[in-house]
Amino acid sequence: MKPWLPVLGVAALAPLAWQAAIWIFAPPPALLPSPALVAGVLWSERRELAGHTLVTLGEAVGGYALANLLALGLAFLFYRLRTAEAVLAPWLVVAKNIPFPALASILVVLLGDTLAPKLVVVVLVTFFPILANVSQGLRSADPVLVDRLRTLHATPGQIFRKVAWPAALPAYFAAHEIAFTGSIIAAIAAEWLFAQRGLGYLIVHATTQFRTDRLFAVTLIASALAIAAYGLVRLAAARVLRWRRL
Amino acid sequence: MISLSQVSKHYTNGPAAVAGADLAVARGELVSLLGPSGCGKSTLLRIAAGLEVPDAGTAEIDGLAPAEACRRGALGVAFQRPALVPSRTALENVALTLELLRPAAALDPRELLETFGLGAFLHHYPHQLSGGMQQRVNIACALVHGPAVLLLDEPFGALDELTRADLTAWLRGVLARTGQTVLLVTHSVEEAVALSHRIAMLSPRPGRIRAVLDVPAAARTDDWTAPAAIAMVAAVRRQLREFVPAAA
Ligand SMILES: Nc1ncnc2c1ncn2[C@@H]1O[C@H](COP(=O)(O)OP(=O)(O)OP(=O)(O)O)[C@@H](O)[C@H]1O
Ligand SMILES: [Mg+2]
Repeated sequence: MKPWLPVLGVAALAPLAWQAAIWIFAPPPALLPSPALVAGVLWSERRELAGHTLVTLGEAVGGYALANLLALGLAFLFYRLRTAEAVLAPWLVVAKNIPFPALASILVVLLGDTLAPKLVVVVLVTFFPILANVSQGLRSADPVLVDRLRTLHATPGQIFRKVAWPAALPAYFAAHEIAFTGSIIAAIAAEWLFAQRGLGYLIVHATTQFRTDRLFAVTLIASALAIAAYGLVRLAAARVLRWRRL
Repeated sequence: MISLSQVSKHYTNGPAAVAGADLAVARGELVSLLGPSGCGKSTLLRIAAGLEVPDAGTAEIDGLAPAEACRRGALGVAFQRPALVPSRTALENVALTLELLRPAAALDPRELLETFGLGAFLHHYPHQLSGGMQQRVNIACALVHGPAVLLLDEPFGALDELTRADLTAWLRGVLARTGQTVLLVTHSVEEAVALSHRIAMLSPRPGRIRAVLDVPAAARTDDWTAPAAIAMVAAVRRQLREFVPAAA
C-alpha cells in the first residue's frame, strides 16, 4: 500500500463524519460549527492564520531539529562510552520528569515571550523518544556482524557507519513518527501557556471570544500539520528503509 | 599455516572452555573440528580469528598474530549464523568485505556470486534469500578477498540433509580450485569425512582435543555412500563415543 493512502483516507473521511454529525444532531453553531462555516473562516482569515501557523511551524521544526541534534549526539556518546550512560541516566530521568510548564514558566520570567521557552518545551517533549530509540537501535546491531567486521580489521568508526547506524535507522524512523508530530503539539502547548503569536495563542484568544468556528479552524490546521509531518516521515522511511520487509 | 599451541580459555563461571589445545593446519590442508555441543569448537575458531584472547598459549596465522593476519586480509571467517547486513543486497554484502580491506587483488563479487549459483539474486536483500542462499552469500563474503586461510564455523548448520550435502560438494569444488588452508567446525561426521584431510575430535568440559584422525583420500568424496566413506564415518563415530559416553 502507498504510504500516503491512509493519510488521504483520514483527510477525506473526517469532514464527512463531521457533516453527518451536524445533520443528525443539529447542534447550535456555537457548539459545533459546520464544515462550511469553518472553511469560510479558514478562507477569510487566511492571512492571519497563515502567519500564526508559520510561527508555530518554525518553533516546532526548530525545536525538533535541536532535539535531534542533542539526542543523536547523546546516543552516539552512549554507544561509544557505556559509562557515560550510567553517569547520565539519573539526570536524564530527572529531565524527563520535569513538569515542562513549570520550567517553561521560569524561562518566560527570565527571557520573556521569546523563542527560547517554546524551543525548550518542544525539545523536552521530543528528545527522549529519539534518544531511547536510537540508542537502543545502535545496540541492536547483530553481534555476529560486528565480529565479521572485526575480522576484516574494521575501525570502530567503520563498524558504526556500516553496521550500527543502519541497524538503528528503523528505530530512528519509528521515533520520528511519534516525535515529529508531537513537536507541533508541543509548540502549540508552549504558546498556549504564554505567547502573543502562534496557533496556541489563537486558541486562547478564540476561547476568550467564544469563537468556536476559529477554534475549529485552528484545530484543523494543527491536525493538517500533524498529518503532513506524519506523511513526510512515512515517505522518507519508505525511501530510506526500502530494504525492509514490508 | 594455522597454529594453535597450548591454547586455553576460561570464561568466567564454568570449567575451561578450551584446555591445552594443540593444532597445526598445514598450507592447503583442511582440518575439521568435530565434537559435541559446547566442547569449545567455536571458542577455538574465535581464538584463531583473533576475536577471543586465550588465557594461555598462542594462536598464529602464517607466523602472524591473528589481528595482524586480519589486517593483511589473510583471513576469511564465515560464522555459524550468516553475518549479513540486512540493509545491503547480496552483492553489496560481498562488496563490504572489499570496502573495508581494500585488497590489491580480489575476486569480482558479481562473478563470485554467479559461480555460487546466485546470479539471479545479486540484488536481493538477505531476508529475501533462503537459509541456504544466505549461507552461500556468507561464504562468498569470506572468500572474495582471496584470503590464504579460511575459518568456517558450521557453514551449513541448520540446513536440511540434502541441501547440506549439495553445499558440501559445492564447497569442495570451490576449495579444490583455490587451495586455501581451512579450519572447519562441524557437527556432521559425514561432512567432516567428505571434506577433511584430518579430523580433530574434542571432548567437552574442559574442551580438549582428544584425537586427530587422518581421512583416507578414498573417503573424501561427494558420494557419502562410498564404502570407504561409510567405513570412515563409522570409525569416527566410534572414536567420538569413547570420549563422550552415552547419557545414562
Ligand atoms: N562468551 C562466553 N561467555 C561465557 N561462556 C562461554 C562464552 N562462549 C562460550 N562459552 C562456554 O564455553 C564453552 C564452549 O563454547 P563453544 O561455543 O566454543 O562450544 P561449541 O563447541 O562451539 O558448541 P556448539 O557446537 O554448540 O556450537 C561452553 O560451555 C560455553 O558455555
Ligand atoms: Mg559453536
